[in-house]
Amino acid sequence: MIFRKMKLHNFRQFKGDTELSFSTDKSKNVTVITGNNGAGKTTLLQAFNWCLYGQVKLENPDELITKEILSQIEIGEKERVEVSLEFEHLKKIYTCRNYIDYIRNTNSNIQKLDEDRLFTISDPDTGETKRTDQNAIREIFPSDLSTYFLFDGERMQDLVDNQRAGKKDLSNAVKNLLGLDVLENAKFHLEKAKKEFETEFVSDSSSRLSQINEELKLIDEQIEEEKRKKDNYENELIELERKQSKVNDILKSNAGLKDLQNKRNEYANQMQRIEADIEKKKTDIFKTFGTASVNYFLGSTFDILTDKIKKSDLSDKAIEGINANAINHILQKGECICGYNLNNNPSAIEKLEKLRSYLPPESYSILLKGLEVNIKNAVDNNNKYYENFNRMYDEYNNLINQKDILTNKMNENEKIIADVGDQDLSKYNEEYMKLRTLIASKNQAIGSCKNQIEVLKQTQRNREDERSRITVSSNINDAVQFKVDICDKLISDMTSRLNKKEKEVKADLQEKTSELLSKMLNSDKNIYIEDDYNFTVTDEFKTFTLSEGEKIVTSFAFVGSIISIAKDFISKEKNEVLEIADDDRFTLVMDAPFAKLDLSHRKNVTSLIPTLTDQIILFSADSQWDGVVETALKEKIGLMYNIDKNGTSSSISLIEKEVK
Amino acid sequence: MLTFQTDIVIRGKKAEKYQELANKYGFLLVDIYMMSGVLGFINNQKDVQDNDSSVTANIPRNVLQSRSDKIDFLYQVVTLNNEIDIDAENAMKLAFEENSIENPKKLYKRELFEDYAMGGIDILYDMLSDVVFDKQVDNIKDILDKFYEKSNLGQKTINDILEEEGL
Repeated sequence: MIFRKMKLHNFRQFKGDTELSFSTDKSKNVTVITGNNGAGKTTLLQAFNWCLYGQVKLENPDELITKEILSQIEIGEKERVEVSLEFEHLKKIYTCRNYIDYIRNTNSNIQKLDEDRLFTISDPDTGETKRTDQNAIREIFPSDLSTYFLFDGERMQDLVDNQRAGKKDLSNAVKNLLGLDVLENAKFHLEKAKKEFETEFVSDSSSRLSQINEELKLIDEQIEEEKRKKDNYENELIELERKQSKVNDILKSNAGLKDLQNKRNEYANQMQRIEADIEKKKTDIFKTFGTASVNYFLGSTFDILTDKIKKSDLSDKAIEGINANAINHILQKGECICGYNLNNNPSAIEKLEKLRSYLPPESYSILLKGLEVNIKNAVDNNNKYYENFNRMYDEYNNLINQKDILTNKMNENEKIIADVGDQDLSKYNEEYMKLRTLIASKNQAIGSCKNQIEVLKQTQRNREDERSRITVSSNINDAVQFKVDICDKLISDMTSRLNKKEKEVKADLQEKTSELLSKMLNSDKNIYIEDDYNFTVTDEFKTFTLSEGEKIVTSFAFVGSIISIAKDFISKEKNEVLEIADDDRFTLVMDAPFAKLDLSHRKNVTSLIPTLTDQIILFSADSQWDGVVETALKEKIGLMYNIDKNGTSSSISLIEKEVK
Repeated sequence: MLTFQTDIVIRGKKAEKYQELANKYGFLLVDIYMMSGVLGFINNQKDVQDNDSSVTANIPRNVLQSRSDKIDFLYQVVTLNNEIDIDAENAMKLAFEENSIENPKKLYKRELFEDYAMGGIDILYDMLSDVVFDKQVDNIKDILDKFYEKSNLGQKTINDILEEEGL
């Protein structure tokens, strides 16, 4: 089965009619659809799902018709959303159409009018076209086709995350390949029948037996209820783990930004400290200037003043070796040291008294001496002050230099942050922690359900034992036992057959994935898938820890091997049933996360994509469609489209691009 | 010992300049008073207060008293320098005259210094006020370097300085 064409009419953002063809050329088997993030790639991918299965994995899944169209419907008018797919299978052309009609009723409300899925089949040889039913499609695709051919970005990621969602996906892929869902259903019904039969046993104490049967029925219901609760918790857990993985991806991919933001904070703190130091130094400098510079300004006059004092007659008038006490003694005695009587000579007394004022201890020279000391101290202090100021000035300039260097660093850091794209990562950290708590509580709830189930099963076994003890041997009971035994046998056979088949397919998946992964990574690798669908990758020597890029390579390898096994399996089954040689071709639709591939693997993986199956429909973000990817695929591209926003309008359209 | 019995109160435009420098640089008014007096003296620039503005700058008596040794030293150097050439003995009397609570008269040396402090505030204000924030420290450094060159701390002779100062 390969796709030939898809037509959209008013499907979500694709207003009006949009049509795209897919390359059916065997040598150019790749169709590429590129678009910016949010342009509508996922919508287009989900159009396959909606057309074939009536399901969409999009936000607001009920709002399928283009909003603008819906708002413009007049009262009594009708509008349709429709997707049709044309595909080729065993040389016949099939179309599958899914549509919903909407009408605005007289109350001005929008009402879903009609919803239908139509299938037609036409034979190009005879030109005959006829309607067919969904069973015809089911014949072409076993149960859930999308498991093998439709891989959106989320599934690509889940496959290698070794988390619940990925494990479930792998296990579903294997089970669907085997048609296990049908067999599991049969097993379920057999177990139910067995239980019904068991209530037919008779005993001597029939009242106790019926009581036990009632109890067992109740226990069964309780077990089912616990299982249902556990399943719900597990589904919720898958969603939570998926969200956590996405948040973790954002945090990991922004690890560089986080470092830069940490650096920004560190720089800001350093800057705060330097600015505080600068302010403090400035205050010190001002304070020193305010208190000490006055003598410094005056310093230029000290020598002048000293000179002036020397030149004045103030110091000349003193007599060396004579002090005021000696003059006092002479005045008291009334006689000079030369014998001159002073008592009769007031002018001589006046002269001596004047002389005394120039002599120590209470003299001008003492005062001048004091002043000299003060001046000397001031001069010394001025020298110290100048040195001290220059030291502070150097320290201040040093801080200013540090600030300049830091400012440059900050600017450079901000430039890198702007290039990377700044965003607040703290909300993601909070979200991650919140999800971790929720996951822990879900795991706890699942554990508690499992315990409860075990307790109930133990009670169930006890009651069953009691029932067999009180059951008497009789023809009736023998007949009942026979029926129960048959059920047991069937259940056991079915289980072992399924286990065996599952093991075989798992081994096949293991082998094929290992082979593809080795090719993609250019070195021998082995994948081991455990019973619980956890997997490990080993190389020649030891368990190999996958890098993020290698995980995505592994995802590609899983996708490739799943589709290869599906193809083999379905072809084999067809050949057995239809007894014809099948030249059927297979398709693979995938949203390829090229950006997550390491550059070293990008070329290898990309060039292997066209070999995965007969037809490849590849979705890629514009930014991921880089030189390496384009070059590796260019020989294999048959058709190429770009999703384009129609100017400022909210709708989008597809533009076919020339294949270079 | 010099005793201050009253606050020094500066009024008008001079007071505005005192307050502006105090706010801008965190100087005490008493320090501005001393710097202004010295700058007024070495530049021979006296002035008087005006009443053009209601702003006042009040230097409290207790602050003056706590700095009285330093202030008196400035008074002495300025008065001697100013008066010694005229009459050395009188200069000594004026420079070392002291007042007390019993003798509350206003001293000549204080009046002389205050005249210089009113003239000198204009010089100090011109040196410091019109400077952008991040150039304040560099400006102070330039002022100090200029005085270093002028003062006896440098290699210049007294005659060089006398000539430069026009004394």
